[in-house]
Amino acid sequence: MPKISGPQILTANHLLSGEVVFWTGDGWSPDYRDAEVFPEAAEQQAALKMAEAASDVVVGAYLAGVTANDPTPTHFREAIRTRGPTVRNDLGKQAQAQALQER
Amino acid sequence: MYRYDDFDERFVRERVAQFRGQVERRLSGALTEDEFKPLRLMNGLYLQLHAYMLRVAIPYGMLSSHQMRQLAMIADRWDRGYGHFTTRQNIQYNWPQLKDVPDILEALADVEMHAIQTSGNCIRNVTSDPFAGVAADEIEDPRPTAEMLRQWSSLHPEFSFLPRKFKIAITGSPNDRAATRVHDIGLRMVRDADGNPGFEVMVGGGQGRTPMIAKVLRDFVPKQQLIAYLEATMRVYNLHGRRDNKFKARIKILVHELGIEEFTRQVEAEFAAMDLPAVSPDPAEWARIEEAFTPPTYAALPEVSPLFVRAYETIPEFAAWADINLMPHKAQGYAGVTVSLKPIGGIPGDATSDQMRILADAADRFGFGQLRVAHEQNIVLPDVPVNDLPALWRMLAAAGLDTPNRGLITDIIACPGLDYCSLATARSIPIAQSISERFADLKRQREIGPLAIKISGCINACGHHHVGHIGVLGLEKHGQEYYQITLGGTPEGDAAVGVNAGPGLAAEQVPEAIERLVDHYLNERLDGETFLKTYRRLGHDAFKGALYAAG
Ligand code: SF4
Repeated sequence: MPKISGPQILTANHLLSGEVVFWTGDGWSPDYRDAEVFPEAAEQQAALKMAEAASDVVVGAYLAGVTANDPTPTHFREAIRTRGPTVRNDLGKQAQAQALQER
Repeated sequence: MYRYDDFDERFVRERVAQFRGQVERRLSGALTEDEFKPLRLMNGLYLQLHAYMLRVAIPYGMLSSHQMRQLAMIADRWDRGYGHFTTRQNIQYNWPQLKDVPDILEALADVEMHAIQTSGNCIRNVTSDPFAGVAADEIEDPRPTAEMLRQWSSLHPEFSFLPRKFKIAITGSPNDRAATRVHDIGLRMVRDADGNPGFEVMVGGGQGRTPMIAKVLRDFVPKQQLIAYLEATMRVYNLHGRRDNKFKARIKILVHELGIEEFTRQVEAEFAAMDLPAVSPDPAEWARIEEAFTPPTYAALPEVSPLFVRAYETIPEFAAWADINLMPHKAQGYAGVTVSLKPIGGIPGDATSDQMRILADAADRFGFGQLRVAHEQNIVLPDVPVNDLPALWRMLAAAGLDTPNRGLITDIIACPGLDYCSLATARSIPIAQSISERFADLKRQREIGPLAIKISGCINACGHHHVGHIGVLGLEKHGQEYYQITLGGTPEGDAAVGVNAGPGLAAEQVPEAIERLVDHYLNERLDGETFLKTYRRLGHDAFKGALYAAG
């Protein structure tokens, strides 16, 4: 995992379902666009501590780098995680997004 | 095949009940994640990139049609309608929900399967030759020994917390189709001067960060003493293997650091001190297990099947498939069939639940209900009457399971990589797909001949890139995926670890680079010379030059 610098979002997996989730500021969302961006290291560490304490809801929490004011992860690994397998567009979050569009 | 006895049945059911309780306690908050994580891993449940992943053990790669149908049912009911067959002859489900896993394990137990010891620092599922028991070149069926190893290593109290994970591969044939020399312990059946069967025991092979070819520990161990001998080997490892550094904890490092002579001396001393009758399996148990592997009753079939000959002469697609995907069988009039899970542009090793059911039906109709998983991520129907091959082929073709490419350039091994795996540094599946598409032309594939491309999405080497004739390793630099090419690896007979060819390539450069290697080979090869032989004759630099030529 890349070392932490610059603004971050907080991500984890939902304990029960395993789904990738993002911290919004007052809860967990499956959509990274809802994620709260933490510009400062102190807030980032506090958020991480909070997630570790919330282990009845999420597991494996960590910080992912973004650019200022934009919750889109900069690293390709994290970008894949916001969508699903690049080789199966019919699976993961991207599939739900697509299904919504087609409606 | 082997059926669970009361003991097997009880311990698997007990584990399901135990895990159900553990999940409940995790959800109620009675167990923390730190407490729960090792428990779920002991039951094969990982947390991956997008979701949980359940790895189910397929003992020595052997499945009945009944079990295959259950795997399909699980995929439909609790996952997303497919499964991924791995290089360790297991199956992985990519989307199970934690709350469902106890039910999945229960459904597995219903067909005598489980996910125990598919993770953790224990002896993992034993792997074997997918043609074990039927191959024409076999000395003796290794499966009774494989089953004995399964029983011995399951929940073995002394070996449940080893310094690191431990993998054993076994083959009964001199032609190694089980990659025995890149396992912690590799077992190759041999006979002594009097014709008694036993095993050459090799130790300290492995891939990952520090690839090594196994060394011979003992050139002959009588079959009945094998368990005791392995027990002695494991003890030396358990005692001296490093626990302070995960990267130095595998037995290969211990063997390397002690030297094979000293390691052998210690194993032999331990073995000599053992009370052999006390640690050796009961002969009655041996007999019981051997009986479970009694070959099916083969019909007395003629050497030539007119039905086969007619189809072969009139249907070119069938002829191509028969040329490439069949293996000689020890019984006259039968063949071993490889069902490729590598359609052009597909995901290596993936099968849909429908395909699993068709494979199960095919096994029932044509092959005594038997299936095998090959470490190349293909499925094998070990016992098909030659007469039935045209009908089998039609059935497979209708399900997209007729790709004629066993051992050819598009029969690519690829790990899940960064499309699924949380440890990955780069994607591997899309690389496999782009190479497969580039070399889709079957005529060209056949002209190229045997060529194994193996792709891993990180240094852990689950995609066996170290032993690919051409290996591809996905890495990351400056936030970009890139791919390192290795050349000249092979897991077979004269096993070798591939040599890194030089600077890495961008994903889109890989197929072209492989094309240049192939062109170079085709230009330079002598009559009947395979890629690997030409590589060995001309040397690494010649191919390295071709790889980077005007790229
Ligand atoms: S080689 Fe790496 S990326 Fe591929 S499956 Fe293994 S751990 Fe994951």
